[in-house]
Amino acid sequence: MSHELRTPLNSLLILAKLLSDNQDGNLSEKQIEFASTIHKAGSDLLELINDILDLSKVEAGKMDITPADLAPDDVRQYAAQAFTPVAEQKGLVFETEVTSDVPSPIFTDEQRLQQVLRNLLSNAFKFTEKGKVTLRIGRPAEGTRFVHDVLQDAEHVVAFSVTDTGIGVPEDKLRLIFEAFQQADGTTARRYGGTGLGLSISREIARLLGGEIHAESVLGEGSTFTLYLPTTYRPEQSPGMATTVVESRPEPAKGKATGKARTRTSAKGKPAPVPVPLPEDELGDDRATIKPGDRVLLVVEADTSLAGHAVAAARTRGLKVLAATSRESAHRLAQAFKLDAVVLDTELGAEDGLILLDSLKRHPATRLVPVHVIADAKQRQAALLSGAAGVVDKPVTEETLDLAVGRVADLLAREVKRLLVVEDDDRERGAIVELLGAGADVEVSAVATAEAALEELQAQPHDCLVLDLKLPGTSGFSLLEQVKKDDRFHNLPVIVYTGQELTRRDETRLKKYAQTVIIKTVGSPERLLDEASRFLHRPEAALPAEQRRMLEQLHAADAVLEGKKILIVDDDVRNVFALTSALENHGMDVVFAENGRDGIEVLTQNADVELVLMDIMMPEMDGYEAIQAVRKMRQFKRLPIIALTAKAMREDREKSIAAGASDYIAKPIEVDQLLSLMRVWLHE
Amino acid sequence: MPCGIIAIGGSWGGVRATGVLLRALPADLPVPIVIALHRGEEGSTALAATLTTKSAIAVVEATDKDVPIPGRAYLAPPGYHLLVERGGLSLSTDEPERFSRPSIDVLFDSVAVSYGDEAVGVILTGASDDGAAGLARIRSRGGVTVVQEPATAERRTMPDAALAASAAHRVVALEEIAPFLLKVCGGG
Amino acid sequence: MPDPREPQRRRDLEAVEIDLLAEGIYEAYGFDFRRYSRPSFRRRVWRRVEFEGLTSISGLLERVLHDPAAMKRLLADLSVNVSAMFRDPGFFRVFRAKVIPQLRTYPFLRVWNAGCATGEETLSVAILLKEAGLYDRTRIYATDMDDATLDQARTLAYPIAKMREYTENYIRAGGTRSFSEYYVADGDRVVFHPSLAQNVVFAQHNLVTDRSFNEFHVIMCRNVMIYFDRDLQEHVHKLLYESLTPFGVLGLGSRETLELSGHREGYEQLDETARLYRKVV
Repeated sequence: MSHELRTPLNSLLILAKLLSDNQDGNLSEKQIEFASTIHKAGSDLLELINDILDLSKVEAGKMDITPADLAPDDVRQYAAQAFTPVAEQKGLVFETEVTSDVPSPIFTDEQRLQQVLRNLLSNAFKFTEKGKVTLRIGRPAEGTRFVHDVLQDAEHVVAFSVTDTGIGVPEDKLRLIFEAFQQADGTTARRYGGTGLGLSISREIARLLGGEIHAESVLGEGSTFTLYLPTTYRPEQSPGMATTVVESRPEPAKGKATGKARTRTSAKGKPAPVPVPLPEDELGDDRATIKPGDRVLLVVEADTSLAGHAVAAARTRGLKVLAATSRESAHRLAQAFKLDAVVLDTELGAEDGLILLDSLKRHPATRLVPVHVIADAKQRQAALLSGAAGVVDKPVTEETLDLAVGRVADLLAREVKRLLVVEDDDRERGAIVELLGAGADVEVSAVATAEAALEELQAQPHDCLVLDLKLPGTSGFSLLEQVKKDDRFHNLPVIVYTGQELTRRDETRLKKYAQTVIIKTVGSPERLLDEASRFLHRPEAALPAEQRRMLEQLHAADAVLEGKKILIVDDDVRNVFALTSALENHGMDVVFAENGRDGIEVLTQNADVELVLMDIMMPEMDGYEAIQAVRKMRQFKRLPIIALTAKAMREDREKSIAAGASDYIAKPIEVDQLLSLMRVWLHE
Repeated sequence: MPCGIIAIGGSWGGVRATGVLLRALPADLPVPIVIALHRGEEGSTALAATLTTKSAIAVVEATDKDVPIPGRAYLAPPGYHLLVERGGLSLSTDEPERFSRPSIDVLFDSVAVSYGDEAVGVILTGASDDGAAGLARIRSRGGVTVVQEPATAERRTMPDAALAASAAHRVVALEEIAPFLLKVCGGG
Repeated sequence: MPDPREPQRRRDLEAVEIDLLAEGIYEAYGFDFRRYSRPSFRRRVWRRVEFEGLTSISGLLERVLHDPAAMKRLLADLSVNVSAMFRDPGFFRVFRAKVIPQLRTYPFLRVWNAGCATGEETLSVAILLKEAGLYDRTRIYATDMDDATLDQARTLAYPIAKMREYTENYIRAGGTRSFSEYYVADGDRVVFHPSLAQNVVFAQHNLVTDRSFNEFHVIMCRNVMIYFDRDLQEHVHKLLYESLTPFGVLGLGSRETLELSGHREGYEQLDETARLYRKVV
């Protein structure tokens, strides 16, 4: 991912820089200023991206730790060199110190340590306007308590403290930072901008190095952030959970000399992945940028130049690629990553590639991963017997590698879709699975209860949900409501498959969550198959363009609209979902009726409705009649009513105004236009 | 005077007569043919196929907005009027005219309006006076009009009505209609 | 000496008059006949010219511009596409066999009879759905551009003289009851049972100018678009396509085709002969 993000951004930065330099001298002051702003904003963005990439890397357990002997004084020097210019620029004092009781050397990852210190120091400088910033490398203060056992033994801990005389962090803010730490997924951190993210990364790195970060702050006096590391890094020492200790010291209350109320909190985060010692990345493969959802190909090729070619070939086909030049490194990569396919040259230097094939096929984690083998005629049969998915004949050349990679890419492009069936009847469930799982590219899982369905949905992403409404325990209706509350499932297409008699009210309610409803009858298997393949193979089908546009036309909430109660009277099913969602997203409270008569009933029951959107072409009582009837009721004489109509003629417009509508808007409805109109009529 | 289209109308005996006429026309006839024959509303769609097997000209039942191709004959579908304009055929389900839908008058009138002096109209055997006014219309717009010699017709009402409306340039026996059309429109 | 180009010039003049008429009606009343298929439009206009006792299309233009009542009469002429109940019985047989089973899988059905004119088709569909046991969960939207025509459709009354043909059609369409159950004779007309219209919404809607107003499982638009030119047909096809639910069914007249339409790819034909198309994309 990093490459794809950074490259275009870099071009943008370079061009913005060139522009702001105004070498041709033909730009106005204003234009130069704009170009500089683009450059500045782009630089900030690049920094942010780097942070995000780092964070995802650590979180995915993909950050390598390369420990080495390291003199603490070297660390101090590095910090002094890096930040003295900053201090001078801001007119601050920058003091660095290594206490004599610090053991030397220590054994840890220099780069990572520097990264954390850079972050802590730049925060310190950012929030300090006058006074000084201190980096002190020493032993932990007596009585310092660590969350992690390894650190409890103070003999082996070194403390890197960054202290500033800045604004300090107010107690509530410190809590926020603390909460940010607690959010292992980094989402909260992102909300608090640069600091949060940087601290999150630092925390994660500290964890990887077997350490902790503690924070203390007194408002108005300054803060101290301390990184505690074991003097000797051991991979197996990495604590199993993210650990942070934050101490908040509120301003000392007057007259209380000892009034340092310390609060200590320790947080449990998610378990860290077991660190895997990875082989060296000789070919610059994608190991650092692999994210969930990527298609990962392992290329095993002893000839580095050919391996390099295969890496490039796989990338152009949209695959993430790992490269191994030996059996050993292939093994380690196969353990560390979830592979989608392997291309294997049987001639692995002195080693036999078929042995690797055999062990991949025996290992539970890689047993099902398709392995394409490049082999000579003699090995062909053996390779297939060992479970190779395909064999490409030798000699190994760029062309044969292309061929093998191409086959794998084609295979992976046939993406398998996952479908979840929720049906309590065993036989019915079996039948549906038979019906829908027939295609090679569809994987069907089936459960009998809403509870199990929720669990399954949480466990892995699905492309479609087939749901029976009648379930033991939680009903299908409630399941739907629950599922659709979760943003992740907002676009999950739902097919309700039910033998239940539905009322129109049920259908309207369902329409809000489910794309389509199928009644169980003779012809329903065919339709179920049709609808399911529609959603599986054309994901955009779940939300037709029109409705998608409506939802996309959303902006921030609006005080005029917020909290207003709106009545929609419309039988156009497409509006039930899209229009209601759009209005609700603007903080409006929407009530709904399907025809004029119901609309009047709903209105009399909800006298606090502040505006009515009235369709014209409706059953029972059309919009004209309904508007007239509403106007006859004294309390609704001045109620804004906006007519919605598919009609284009002037006469129709006049007709709805004559019936008593306040205004008029044409279908299909442009949400922006409708909102403007509503603002006009809701304005007080 | 170039020839742009040939329009043929008939009722009683018209299917047979049309067959005779089409059989004598070559596949490379340079103009399209449109045909209205009176038949039941739910008339057999096999008619076009029957006519096709006996002639070099391909006969099809017209579909709305067909673009007529030279050397092909388009038959008005049962229950529809067939109308012609330059560049396309169109159908209508308007009321029957003179108890007929398709109506020969409706077809010929549209042919007269759209093709003017490039139109050729042919009235064959039949037991109604449909087509007489239409043929007269083609003639008045400068088109060429032919009527089957009533004596050679299975029913002479239709040719007689056309003659009475003084709509005909030529009155010829059934077998001679095709050679005459070839002379007017070329080809063969 | 007569001008040899006279006929040619006369034809052009008439074309000019028709253009002006369509343009004038559009400007004054908003009804858009400019892309109606010329030959039929011309015939209908001439018929109105004659009924009004006029001699030219220009004369008709003058009258409809100044006399809204005359416009209403012309509109009725232009709106009515003469239909019959169960027209093309074969179409309804296929509908019964191939569409009804699919319709049973929906909890509620919306059917749009676009260009319903005097309602023969609407009632045919209502009867068919009733016999399939689906009518109670169906709503049929029967729309036409002309209010007067709709008013007539709402009466559910037809000339008694038509009943023989309709009964024959009904039987051939595979009707399962006795056709006479559905109507009572009243003088020279018959009136169909009001329960057939119970779930029918008769509403004014102009296919040429108005937009999609709901999503339907079935759209019947038979022998309506034959009165439109190719461009307008394409426009209406788009409207119908947008108004069909995925896998919804479109019914066309027996000599209408989707083959030339840009929407052909969006449908599969359900039967070799009957013009029933299922939206697939």
